[in-house]
Amino acid sequence: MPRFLFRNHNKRSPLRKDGVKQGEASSSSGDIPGSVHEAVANIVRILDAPDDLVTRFVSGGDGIPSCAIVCIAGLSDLNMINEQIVSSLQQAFSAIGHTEKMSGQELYGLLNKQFLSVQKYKTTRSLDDILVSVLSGDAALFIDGLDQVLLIGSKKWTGRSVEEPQTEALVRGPREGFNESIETNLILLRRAIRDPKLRFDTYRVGARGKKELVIAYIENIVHPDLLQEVKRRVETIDIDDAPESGTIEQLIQDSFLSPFPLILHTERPDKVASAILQGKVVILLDGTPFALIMPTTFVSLVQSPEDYYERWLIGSLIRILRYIAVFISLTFPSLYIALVSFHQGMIPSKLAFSIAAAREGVPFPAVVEAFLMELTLELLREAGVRLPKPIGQTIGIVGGLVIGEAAVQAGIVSPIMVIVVAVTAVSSFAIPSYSAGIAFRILRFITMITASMFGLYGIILTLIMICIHLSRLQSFGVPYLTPLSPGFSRDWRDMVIRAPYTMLTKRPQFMQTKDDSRMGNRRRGP
Amino acid sequence: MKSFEYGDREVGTYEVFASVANMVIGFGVLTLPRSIVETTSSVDGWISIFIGGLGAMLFTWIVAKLVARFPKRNLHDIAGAVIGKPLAYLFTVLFAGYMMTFVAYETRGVASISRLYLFDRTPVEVICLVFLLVLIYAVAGPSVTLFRLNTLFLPIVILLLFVLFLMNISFFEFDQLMPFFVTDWQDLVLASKESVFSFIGFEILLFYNTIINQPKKIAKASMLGMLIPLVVYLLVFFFTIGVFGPEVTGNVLYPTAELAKQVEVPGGFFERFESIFFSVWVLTLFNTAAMAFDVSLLALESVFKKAKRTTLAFWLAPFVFLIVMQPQNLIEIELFGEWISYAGIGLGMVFPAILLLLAIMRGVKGRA
Amino acid sequence: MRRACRGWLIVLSLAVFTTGCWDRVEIEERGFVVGAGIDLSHEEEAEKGQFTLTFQFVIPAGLQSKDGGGKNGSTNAAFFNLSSSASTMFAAARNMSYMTSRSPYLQHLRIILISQDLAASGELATTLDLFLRDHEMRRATKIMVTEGEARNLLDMHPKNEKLPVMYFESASLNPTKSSRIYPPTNIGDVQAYILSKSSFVLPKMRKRNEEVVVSGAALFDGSQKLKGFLNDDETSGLNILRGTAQDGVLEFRLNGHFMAYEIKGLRRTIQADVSNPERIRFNLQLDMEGNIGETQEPIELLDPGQLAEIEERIAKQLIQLTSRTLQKVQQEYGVDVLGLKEFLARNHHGVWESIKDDWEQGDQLFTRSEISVDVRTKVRIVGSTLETN
Repeated sequence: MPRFLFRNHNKRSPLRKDGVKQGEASSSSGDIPGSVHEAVANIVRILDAPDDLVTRFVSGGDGIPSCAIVCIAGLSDLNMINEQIVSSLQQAFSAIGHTEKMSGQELYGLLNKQFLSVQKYKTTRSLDDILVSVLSGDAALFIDGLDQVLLIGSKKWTGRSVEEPQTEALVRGPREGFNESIETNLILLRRAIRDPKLRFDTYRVGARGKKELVIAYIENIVHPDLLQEVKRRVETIDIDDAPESGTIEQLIQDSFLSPFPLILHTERPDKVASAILQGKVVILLDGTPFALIMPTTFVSLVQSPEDYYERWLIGSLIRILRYIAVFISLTFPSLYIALVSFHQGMIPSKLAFSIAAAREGVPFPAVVEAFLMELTLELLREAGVRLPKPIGQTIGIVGGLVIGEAAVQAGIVSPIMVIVVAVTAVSSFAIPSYSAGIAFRILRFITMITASMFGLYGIILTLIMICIHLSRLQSFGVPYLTPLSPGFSRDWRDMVIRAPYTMLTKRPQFMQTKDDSRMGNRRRGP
Repeated sequence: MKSFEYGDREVGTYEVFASVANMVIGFGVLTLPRSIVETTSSVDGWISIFIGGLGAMLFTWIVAKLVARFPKRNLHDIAGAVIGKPLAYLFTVLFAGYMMTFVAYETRGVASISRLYLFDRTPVEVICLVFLLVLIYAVAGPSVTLFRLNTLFLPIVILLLFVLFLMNISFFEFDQLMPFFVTDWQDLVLASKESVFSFIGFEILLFYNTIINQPKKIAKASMLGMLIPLVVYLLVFFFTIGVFGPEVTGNVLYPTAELAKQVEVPGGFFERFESIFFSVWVLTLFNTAAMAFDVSLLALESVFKKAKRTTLAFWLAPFVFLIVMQPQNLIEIELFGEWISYAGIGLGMVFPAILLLLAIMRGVKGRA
Repeated sequence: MRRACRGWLIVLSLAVFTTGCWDRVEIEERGFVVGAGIDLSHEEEAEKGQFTLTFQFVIPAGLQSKDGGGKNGSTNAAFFNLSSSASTMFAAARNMSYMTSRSPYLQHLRIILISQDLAASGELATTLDLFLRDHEMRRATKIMVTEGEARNLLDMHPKNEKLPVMYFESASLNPTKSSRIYPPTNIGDVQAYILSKSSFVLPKMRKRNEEVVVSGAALFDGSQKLKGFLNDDETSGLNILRGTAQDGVLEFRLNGHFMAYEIKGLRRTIQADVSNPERIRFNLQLDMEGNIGETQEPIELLDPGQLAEIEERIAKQLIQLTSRTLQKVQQEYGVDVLGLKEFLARNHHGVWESIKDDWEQGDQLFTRSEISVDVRTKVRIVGSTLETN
């Protein structure tokens, strides 16, 4: 039996699931007054009659119940409302002609069957639903005498188009990236996986923000316990607003003390699609291009979609290069400190003499030197990110070249230190996951401190501590270091190296997927 | 039953294998060639190592059979079922004490070789203290962490040894190994006692039984685990003799580390391979010490059921530290190691064997 | 409780962290010693102790500077030497700390030079003890014997290297090009010899005019006492007899003209007849192959008869070369540096056990044993031209 030892979430308030499935009616009733005018007046009153609130009444004459449409001007497509809703109402009214009394229910039936030509709508009885829908751009259609309200999808606002992802550029691979609209993102996902079992479970998060959150997975691949756990955690979220998926990430991750990202984020649909196909669960949030992939393992931090697009040899070599980058980024400055101020005997004689000559006249010990340069570098990086792009590059050049050169000239640091810092910086940017890169940077400083106290012994003990921490971490019940430890020899084919596709016939073993074959099931039915 | 389930907190056969191997390879291998060569002549010591290894494997098998008979039970429960509660208490506490001194011994080992190869002035106390702090961090979490750590470190250690051997091949003179079979069998048996000391460590199974998920496969996994140290010891022995010859091997403090000292890395990227060797060797020493610490905690936990794990760890640490500081010089450290080895033979080999015998005679069995 | 523990832990870690760095010495504060010379003390030095230890320190800045870069002219030196006398090496090494701002750091020690006088006094093992005991030392440090004072050699200025020690080191690695240089022996090997009380050979260096020549060999007996030297040709013979000469040149005459034979490979096999332990008969079989390096005589190199003659000449030359070495090693000094002892210990263990005390000492069985040398040579390549004159 699977057992969970998850962080206790039950201090937070019980679940809040406001999601309404399309086409289903909400069960709560009594919120909607029978009269259209009263109902609309109620809405207007609640929203305090803002300028962008559009209310439009359509009356069909005697005996026919009058209707009202409520929407927000900037969020809804007014043309569409006019052309489709209003006109179809008018068609209906003219078709009905002058009859004796007709109830709201009958009109709704008629509209539903014959006239309403909109693509999607749902009905509700709950006032909350109406408000949320209207505020997210839907049009609410009130019908006199009907105790339900039709919520018609009419969202349309100006947003960013689908562009190339900024943070995860690839040489080879699709150029599409997610944008801020969840509809677009879901479409991109659908376009990537046309599987009938692809599921989008919709939630709303944020007591006030009421953002749409979608849990995406493939039903007959994902491990049910994993899915259940993700859902449970999402349901525990109790916050007024989640402005970005990072908020969600921090609220549902396993350990908030760890520097390592326990949930991977990406703005690449192809990466998300491959994660879903591996049996992972993905969370998309409205208003942000970043999707969350869970569970995340240490190995996946170092992987990039490109590994799979290039031929396996190239992919493997690049991946090995990244592991080396991780190692360099973590230990290079501390090794410099340890070698230069503790174990000079380990440096080859000639190199030792040239380092000694270069450090002649440098007033600081190697630790201070290293800290100075690393700190400068971090400042440069941070400044470069904040500034507009063209200036950012200038800062990089000015900082990197000018400060480095000047510091060496002034005798504050040795030229070798500049090399060390530069190599470290370059390799820390070679790590595909930005947040993982930051984690290694933090740990690099810790390693530097211990190296300055105990030399190699300090470095090795720090590395041991990092390893202990890593092997203790879990991401949604999956040990962080899988498939390394616990070992899954089958998954080693896609760990440090990326084996040829013909060898990757199975989904990752550690995901314990329901359907674990990726290849050789062409004849198998859906 | 699958070896891994989603969200699992148990260990499978591979982890058992790696942990037994890692636990056994410890401080002993650094001095092993010297202590063997002291009583045997030429290269014949390998027979002693072989005999010692086979003996240790026999006892591993006994321990594995014992724990497989009582799935998900630790030594305390097993002994309780076989020889009664009071004796079970006594032996569990003894076991905890033995494991604690084992921790102290490994810690001291780290300190003495780091004094020799890395540090000059840093006090032994500080080296040990830092090591102990990291140990506490390691044992503060669940035991599974340590198993995972083992699976992580074992390949690194084996790779390192492999590199060490590879780089010593050019110094290896086959002539040094000759002549064969010139030692008395009495000396061989005497030396095999020394080698048995280096094979101690598999008794951790007695406590980790509670989290092993496939009791039937323990015997196979742990025997394979014992095979790794056996092969490693034999290779180390052959290489030290082949490179240094028996005379030098018998006269250097840590022959295995001296192998590393011999190496000059091609390309000159790092000189002094021994520092790298030592640094990585800290990994195995750490693993051994951490597992021993963890086992002694588990033993105490099974006696004092109410005590919290981290609290126990914090209270134990000062005692371990005091034990670590007791030996004043190398001779005392070696003597200390010898006592521990005798305790290990008593508690880790003889005691489980008696338990198994009694359990079979009385027909006591554990339920899963 | 838990919180208290955590606090305790933090205080402890802080205590460790703030007081750390016992061993931190920055690289530029180290005085790198690359070479050491050990002499017997003379005159007033002798009052402080019988040994004089000379260290060669590197001046990193001087090593780095390009030629002519030094503004003051005098600051351009790449090294300086310090000498100190004491009864123990350790004390002598410590005395250096008073003489320089940077305390000696021995991890980069490459070469130890032993003076002839010291070697002859039999104190080699005593003086090397420090270098074996100290963890700063590496086993690969090379040891050489110098003709004359070791410190004089350390003072020379080589033409193509900035450090004398680097010059000695690379010169001593030349045996790949010349059989006249005895292969470098490192301190680890010497320890093995000392422990097994075997005789051994160390390469020799001497000063000739302003040049330093690395050639010849010094023979030591089982008590680490210098027995004597071998000259260039004898060293070459020793290298061939030991089978270590994988490269080298052999000059011989054919029809009154000189030819040069380049050794390209050598294999030695020993056979021993131990039926009479008092007079063991050894047969050293040398299989050698090589090229014609130079010929001053227009000969038909493709003629098999001609080649056979050449091969015969070479063999003769070799026998001549090695017999002189054998004579010296076996009869004059009585030191078994040919590896015969090891051969006996490994292949005729029983016999060896009974005679090992009488091999070099006592009955001197080594001197009395009969050693014959057989040579088989092969000429593999005759060069890319057949005739030049």
